[in-house]
Order: sequence, then structure tokens, then C-alpha cells
Amino acid sequence: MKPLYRSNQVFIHPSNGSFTGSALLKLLSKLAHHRSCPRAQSLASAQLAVEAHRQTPHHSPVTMIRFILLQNRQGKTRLAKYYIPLEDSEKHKLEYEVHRLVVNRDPKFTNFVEFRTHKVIYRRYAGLFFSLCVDITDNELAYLESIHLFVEILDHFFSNVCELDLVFNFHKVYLILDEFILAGELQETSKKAIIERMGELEKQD
Amino acid sequence: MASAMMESLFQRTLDDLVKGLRLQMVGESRYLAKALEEVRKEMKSTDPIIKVTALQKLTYLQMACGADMSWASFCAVEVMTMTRFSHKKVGYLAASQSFHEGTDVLVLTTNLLKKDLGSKNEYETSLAIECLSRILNADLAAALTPEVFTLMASSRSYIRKKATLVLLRVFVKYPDAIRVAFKRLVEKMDDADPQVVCAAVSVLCELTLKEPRAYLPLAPEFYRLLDKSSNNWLSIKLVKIFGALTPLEPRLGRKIAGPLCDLMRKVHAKSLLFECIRTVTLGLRDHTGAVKLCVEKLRENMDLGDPNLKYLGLKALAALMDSHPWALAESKEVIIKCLNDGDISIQRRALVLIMGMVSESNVVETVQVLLRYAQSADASFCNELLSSILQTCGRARYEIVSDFGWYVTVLSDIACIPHSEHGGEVGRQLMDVAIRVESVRTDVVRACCGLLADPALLGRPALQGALCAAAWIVGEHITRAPHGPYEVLEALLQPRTRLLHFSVHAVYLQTVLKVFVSYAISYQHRYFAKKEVLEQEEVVTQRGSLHAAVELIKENITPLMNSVDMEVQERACNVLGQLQPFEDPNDIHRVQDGFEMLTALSEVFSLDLGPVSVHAQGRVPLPENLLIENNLDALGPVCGSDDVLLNTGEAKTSTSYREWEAEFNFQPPSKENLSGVDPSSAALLQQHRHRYENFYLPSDAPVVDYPPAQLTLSAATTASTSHGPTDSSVFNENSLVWTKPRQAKARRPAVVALDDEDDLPGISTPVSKKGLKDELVFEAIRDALSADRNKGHSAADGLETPQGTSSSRKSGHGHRSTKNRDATNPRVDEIQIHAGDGVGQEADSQTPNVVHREHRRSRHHRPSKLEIHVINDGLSSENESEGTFKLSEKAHKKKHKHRSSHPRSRRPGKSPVSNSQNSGSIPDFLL
Repeated sequence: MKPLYRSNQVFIHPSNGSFTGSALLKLLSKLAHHRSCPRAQSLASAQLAVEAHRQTPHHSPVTMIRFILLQNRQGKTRLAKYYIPLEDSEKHKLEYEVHRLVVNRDPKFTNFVEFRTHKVIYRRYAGLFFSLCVDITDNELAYLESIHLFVEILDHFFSNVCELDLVFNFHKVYLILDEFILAGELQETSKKAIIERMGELEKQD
Repeated sequence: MASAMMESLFQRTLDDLVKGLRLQMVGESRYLAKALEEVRKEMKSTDPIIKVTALQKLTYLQMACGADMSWASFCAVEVMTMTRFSHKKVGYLAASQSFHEGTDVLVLTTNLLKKDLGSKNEYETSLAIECLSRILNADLAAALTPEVFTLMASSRSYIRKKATLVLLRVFVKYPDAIRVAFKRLVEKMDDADPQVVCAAVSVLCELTLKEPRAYLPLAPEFYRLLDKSSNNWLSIKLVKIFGALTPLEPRLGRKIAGPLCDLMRKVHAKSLLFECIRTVTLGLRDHTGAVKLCVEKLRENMDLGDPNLKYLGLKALAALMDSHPWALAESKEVIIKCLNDGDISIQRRALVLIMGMVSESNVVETVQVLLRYAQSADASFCNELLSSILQTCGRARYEIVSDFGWYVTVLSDIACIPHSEHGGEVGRQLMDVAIRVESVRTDVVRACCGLLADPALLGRPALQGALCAAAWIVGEHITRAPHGPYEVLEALLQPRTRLLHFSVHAVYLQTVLKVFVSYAISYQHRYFAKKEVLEQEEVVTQRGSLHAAVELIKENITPLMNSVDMEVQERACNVLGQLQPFEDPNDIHRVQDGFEMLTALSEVFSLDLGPVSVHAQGRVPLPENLLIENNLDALGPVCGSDDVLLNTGEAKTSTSYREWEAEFNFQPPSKENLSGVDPSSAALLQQHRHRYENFYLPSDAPVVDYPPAQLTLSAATTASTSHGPTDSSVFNENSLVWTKPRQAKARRPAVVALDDEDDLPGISTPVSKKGLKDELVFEAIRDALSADRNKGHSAADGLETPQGTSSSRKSGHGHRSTKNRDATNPRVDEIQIHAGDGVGQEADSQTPNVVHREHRRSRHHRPSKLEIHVINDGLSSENESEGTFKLSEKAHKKKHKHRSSHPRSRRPGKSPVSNSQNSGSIPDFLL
């Protein structure tokens, strides 16, 4: 049995060794109200805040794009860019889930799917799915249009783009994407400007 | 040298790697491992080209195959430092794909990034900015803020745009940057390049959505931009910002309503249109004109047939549901049609809307429509429909149900619908209604008898919860059974009951006993009252005689004495034991004894079982010498592996069938077991078939399975069948009257309510707590804005309205507004000192030089009273920042319901009282 935490006045042993998070919180909040022992109070409230913080979801809602995925029908990732920090294992799980979510949808269905606490806006071009994950309250149609704009840019850049172009030139696709979206925000809405930029980037040695 | 040559000659290029990977059909993982091994070797090479290629390959493998590349982070930094652009960009790509806040080599990148951010080549700068946006941590942000700040004023709009966008990340990681850069960000809204303006608005939009109140002073700027904006993306962001601001400031709503309506009328882009509609539903609900226009536009768009527009339309209507029920009533036809849509997300949205509009006056019609749709819908949606019916009707003690007779038929219909999986909930509600609503018991019993009699239902495991409840109800109230106890006995003893799970079967057996007791007692009364008449009757209807009942029970229950389940076996033995005296009808004495025993039993059974409150246990006083908190570990070995089943529900049968199923890993007996069979049960089956002809298939061929349950949407559908054809699309939708829910009326039968039931777990929306970083950002921005304002800074033209604002004029040259300074005056009327309740306070360890802040919900606002909560002052060094101060201002402008944050004064000598609200500064143009 380990002491739960230690201070000058307080020394607590969990009696049965199986404190859950919420039990701990309860205990701590009791301690925080314990007037006779100010030291216990302050320690408990600090601990309490840490616990409460740990229990809240990490990403508070913002309007940025969370990630963009290009996948083919078999679920192979052709491009993945994450604008939020994620573990590698989490990324793979997520790619798998998004693919499962969009691959069997009828073309007559909506292009928006709710995904965990967010939503995925996807569009299918031949065998490729372009998926964007955004906040649940964000403007779906605008992102749908931006996916199309991105595809138009790719199409123009690779002149008649096909899946293989993207596979062999993945670094170029990243460059285009970086000209299009920065830090999860759309930075350039003009197709012409991006194409020109890419032309100049290609000229750099 | 030669080996290096060889290496570079024979290194596989990216293309080779990709091609090789594509050829691997099966052994991909082996190929991957080999490729990674190669990359590892090549990374050690001194030749930059080999290294770069290796890194690029690794980046590809990480993206496409999920290979780990954290080990190569140092190599990535090396490549980033290379001078050739084509190498550098590979390094930067690798870094932005694989680095995260905690990567250890990040400390090495600070100078590199500094250099590249200041590079003459704008593409290098752009690479660095992009990478920065992905890898930024607090240290990097602190070190690079000056660079980003400089870049925001760059002469090249390409760089300005990128620097502005990356600012948001910097703010989040390092809130002190706001003091430096916020003014420049606001200035960027006047930039000559529209893309830079767009970037600045994007950042501000993001910030505004998190903490709108702090940005109210910028409203005039946003308004001006919206007025002249021709870029749809920019307009969307601006409209979104107003969506966040207008709920806080009604006058802003009045100002913006006109332009927004104009925009909606003339705009072609649907994305912008829907953003406008969203803003109206958020902040302009009181502007009838705007709402009307929205509803009109929504209907136009939903009629276009595009699924996306339909979905968004339904979503927007849902936002109007509470405040403008008429909007839904007007579009109800479209909404109901959406139930038929193939897309589950549209169906769900429509269902939510329909359920949201259900009230006492239209519940009958609505449920009728939904039940019809449920019959044709696919399994999953059908169950969603049914569960929402059950939920809505069962809400708050059946608040909206006034005709319980009707509701009981709905419940039994729900059980009978082919895809239905809600047996447990139906059973629970049936029991609940039977117990609570006395006047409707006869109807419940009739419905339950119907459920019990239908052999098809027995074959559906999901329904056993309902059957269990039905059996119990019928057993309790057997005197109300419509066709008498004998019919019930037959239903309870039909051959297919073997498909039941043991625990349900045990309830069936108990019911058989109860029914038999009741039957025998009534028989006895009749027998002794007018013996002669009865004998004659007996001759006529052999079936109904006591002897027949005894035989029926014996025949069916005897096999169960060998049941593998203990409970079933025991109860079967019990029932048969009660029957023994009646085996020989001529042995009058034994029969008499039997009757006496049954009379005693019937007295036991006739006691009414009432509902028990879930809190009942709490009211039992605790015995004084009960040591309930003692550690019971010592009992572990004694208890062993016994699984003690605790029923925590209101009543025994409320444990759902699923739990039982999970517990016992129950598989219904296979058909072979059922029909492969000894002759006696075949004969039974034959008999039963003869008796319940209508439930069997007409042919004499061996029955493969039972036909689906006889769905008699009796009461629920009578209304529509009288209308004519039963096609769901022809259903008279106009019969739905959608109005606001009303209070229950007097004609509703009494529903027994238990006290202290009101604190049943209701729907509570958890208050989301903002992250630590966010709080810091808002604090800093609030300070930045108020500082600008109060100093009357000339450079802050972007912020300041031409007229200035009322409160900024008032505030003079002080750091805080006068109102608040008054409040901080020590000569306050009343000071309350509270200890404790310090939830949500935390000393920030990451950025020690940053203001500490606390937040709390202010609940009590009494005018002209100041409350100061002090927890402790300097008790421990780590917590000395924990003094919490709450100022309740005179409620002069509006209610403050939100959680306010308080920056703590940084000057040690000053009294640590802070500005609680910054909302006083409302631009004059609104007034």
C-alpha cells in the first residue's frame, strides 16, 4: 500500500489499494474543504486541479483543420498531414477508422460524416478519398469546396493527376498542401497563385 | 572513397522503393523491415546525397506504412542544416512530419530556425514557418517570437501571410507573445494584400471562438471588413465571428441583421449562405425578419434534393427548434420525408427534429408515423426509431402520454416489429406502467397476454426481456386476463418456451404456479356454489376443466424437472408438487387438502407488489453497531469465486436480458434440439398448432421457423387505416399538429410517483473546462486589448473606433476601468471570506513569468456588494498565487453568466485585485 500523497499534516493510505480517478477526486475535494488543516487544503486543491485537468479532453474546440488524409479504396494512405500532435499509433488507428467510415458510403449520401467528437468531410475522386477532419460546428460546404480546389490544383500541377503521381511525388504534394493550408488554416484561395508559387519552388535548386 | 561511390551508385532511390513496395503483395512487412534496415545504414553515410535520399525514403515509409522514424530525428536536423534548398526541404518535411513538442533534438533547431526565418530566400523562410507551425513548443515559441513579429512586417506579402497564420500557434504556446504581437495582428486586418487580411481574420476568428467576450471591442473592424469583403472565405470567417459575438451583445445583433439579410439574399455560395444562417440561429433569434428569411432559404435549399444541403438544412432547423417551433412546423413535410432518405445521418437528423417536436397533443400521430417507418426501415435505423419513441414517451414519468391504453399497445407493437431489439426496455416500461398506473392494468394484461400467446416472439432472444415482464405482469394480475386463466396457461406452456433463457423460463414457471392457483381457487368457488351446473358445463368444455389444466401443466413441466438450470428445475418441482393432490380427481380428500393449500398460497400471491424507489435503501436507518466501512478483504477466501448477483434495479425483472445473456453466455437451443425430438413433444407441438392455427403457416409441411410476429398496429394505426391506403408516403402528414409542448391535462390517469424520484439522473451537459493554455491566451489578449484601450494608444487605431467608447473615456488613464477600481477600494461594505472550493486553480509551472489566473463561476450577483474569496495567503510557497478574488460588479449592463478569468496583478506591492470583466467597452457605433 503506497501513501496517496504526503504532506506535513496529511498522510493517507488508500484502505483497499484501489482508488479510481473519481474516488481520488472526491477524496481530494473533501480535503480541500477541510478547514482545520490549511496545508492539506492547499495541497489538495492543487492536486485537484491537476486531476481535473487530466480528466478533461485535451483539444478544446477550434476551427482549424485537424488533419487531411488521402486514401485509396483499399485504405492505403497516400498522404497524411496532421495539424494536431498525435501519437503514431493513434494516427494509424485514425486512418483506419476514417477509411472504414467513408469507403462504403453511397455517392448519393452526404459528404459529411460524424467522427468521434469531430466530423470528417470527404470527397471521392476516382479511387481516391480526400478527407478533412474539422470541428463539429465548422462550415462543411466551405471545406468541401476547398477539397475540390486542392484537387484542381493537383490536377493542374501534374496535368491530369492520377494516384501514381501522388505516390511517386509525395514530397511535392506536401509542398502544394503547405502552400494551400498552413497551421490548419486555409492560407491561399487562389489556384493561380499556388500554381505560380509551385513553379518557382521547382526552380529552386 | 570507392566504397562511397559504390554506395551512391547502388542506393535505392525513392522511386525504386515505392515500386518495390507496390510489387509486394504478401510479404510487405518483410520488405519494409529490409528497407528500414537499408535506410538505417545509409543514414550513417557521410555523403549528403545518400543521407537525404535515405531520409526521404524514411519519410515516405512513415507516411505510407507507419514506420517509426523517431530514431532519425537527429539526421533530420542535420539535413535541415544543409545549404542546398532541395536538401533542406527534405529535412524540413521530415521534421514537420515526425517531430512533436517533446522531441529532444528541438533544442538544436532554435538557431537553425532563427537563421532560416531570417533568410533572404523567401522559400526557405516559408519552409521554416511551415515546420514551425508543427513543432512549436513553449521554448521555441519564446525564442522565436521576435522573428515571427518581424516577419509580420515583411515587405513580401507571401511571408506576411504565413507569419500571421503561424502567430496563432505562437500565442497558444507562449501567451506572452500576445503582448508583443497582438496589435500588429489587428493592424494586419488593414493590410494591402487581401490574403494577409484573410490570414489575420482567420487567426482572430480562432481566438474569438474560444473567448468571444474579449473581442467585442474589435466588432467595428470586423463589421467594416464584412461590408467591403468580396472574398467568400473571408466573409465566412467574419460571419462566423459575428456568430460568436452577437449572443453577447444584442445591440450588435440589431446592427448586423440588415447586412446579413442582404448578404443572404444576394449570395450564391452556399457555404456562405449556411454560415449566415448559422449566425442567425446563434445570435439573431429575436430578429423575426432574419429568421423568416433563413427558414425560407432553408426550405428552398432542402427542396433542391442535394443530400448535403438537406443535411445542413436539418441541422439548422434543429438549432431553431427550441426558439422557433413554427419554423419546424412549416417544414414538417420535408422533415418527415427525410426519414425515408437512404443516408443514415440525414435520417438521424430528421428523427432528432421530430422527437424534439413531440408534445402531448401530437404524440399519438407522431408515434404512429414513426412506427410505420420503423416497419420498412433497415434494422439499425429501425431500432434507433424505436428507442427514441421509448425514450421520448418514457421521459419524466410518461409526461407526454395521456392515454396509457394507447401507449401499452404501442409498447406491444414495438416488441412485435421484426427488427426490434428493445425487449428489455419494452419490458421495463410495461412493468412500470402496470405498477404505476392502476387504471390501465386491464389493458396491460391484455397486451401481455397477446405477447405471451405469440409463438414467433419466443424465438427472438432480444425480446425475452419483454416476455419476462409480460409473464410477471400476467401472473400478478391474472384475474384481469381477457380470456381467462386457461388460455394463459396454454400460452405459458407452449412448446417453444424451451427457447427461452433459463432465467426467463423460471419466471414463466412461477407465473404458471400463480395462474394455476388462481384458476383452481375460482374453480373451487364455482364448484361449491352450483355444483350441478358446473358438471354439465364440464361435459361441454372438457378443455376448461381443472383436470385438463392439471394434465396440461404436468405434461409440459415434467421434462423440466431434469433441466440443467437449477432455478428452472426447482420451480418445476415446486409446481408439480402443488399439483399432486389433484392428480386423481376422484380422491376427494386429497383434492380438499390441495384446495386448502392453494387457498393459503393464493393469499400470499394476492398481496399487491408496489413499486420501490431506487433510493429506498437510503432511508433505512443504519444500525448503530454496523461497521460498514470495515475492510472486508479478510472475507475474500471465504467468498471465493462466487459471483454474487446484485440486482440494483427497481424491481427484479428490470435486469435486462442482455445482462443475463452475457452472464451465462446463453445460446438459444438449436432447431434440431427442438424438433428432433421425442414423440411426446411432437404431439404437443401438433396440439398447439391446432389450437393457434393463425400463428402457423398454412401448409402442413414441417415448419422451418415461425412466421414473423403478427403485427397488429391496432390502436396505433386505426386512425390511418381509416384514411385509406396504408402506404407510408400517403400518410396524412397534415394531421400532425406541431406546437409547443403543453402541460399535462387533468384527464390523464394518475401515475404513481415515488418521492425523491426527481433527482433521477437527468440530461446534464458537462461543463467543458478550457485548457490551461487557452486561459493564458485569453488573459493576455484581454490585457492587450484593455491596455490599448485604456492608454488611448494612438497606434491602436485598428482597435479604436473613431468615436472612442464610452467606457474607455470613463476609464481615464488608469490601468483598470474606474468601475473596477471603485470596487477594489478597501472601504467596501462587506467582505466575505471563504475558504476552500479551489477547483480549477493551478499554478502554472511551464511559464513562471506569466500571470497566474483563476476562474470560477460566479453564481451570486447582488448589486452593490463585493465578495472577496480568500483561500490562504502565503501559506505555502508553491501556492501563494491562490488567492481568489471575485468581484461582483453592479449589474449595470448585463448578466454575467460566463466564467470570468482574473489576471493577477504582477506587482507584488499592489493589492492583488483584478479586473473581472472587460465587457464594459462596447463600441459607440452600436449605441
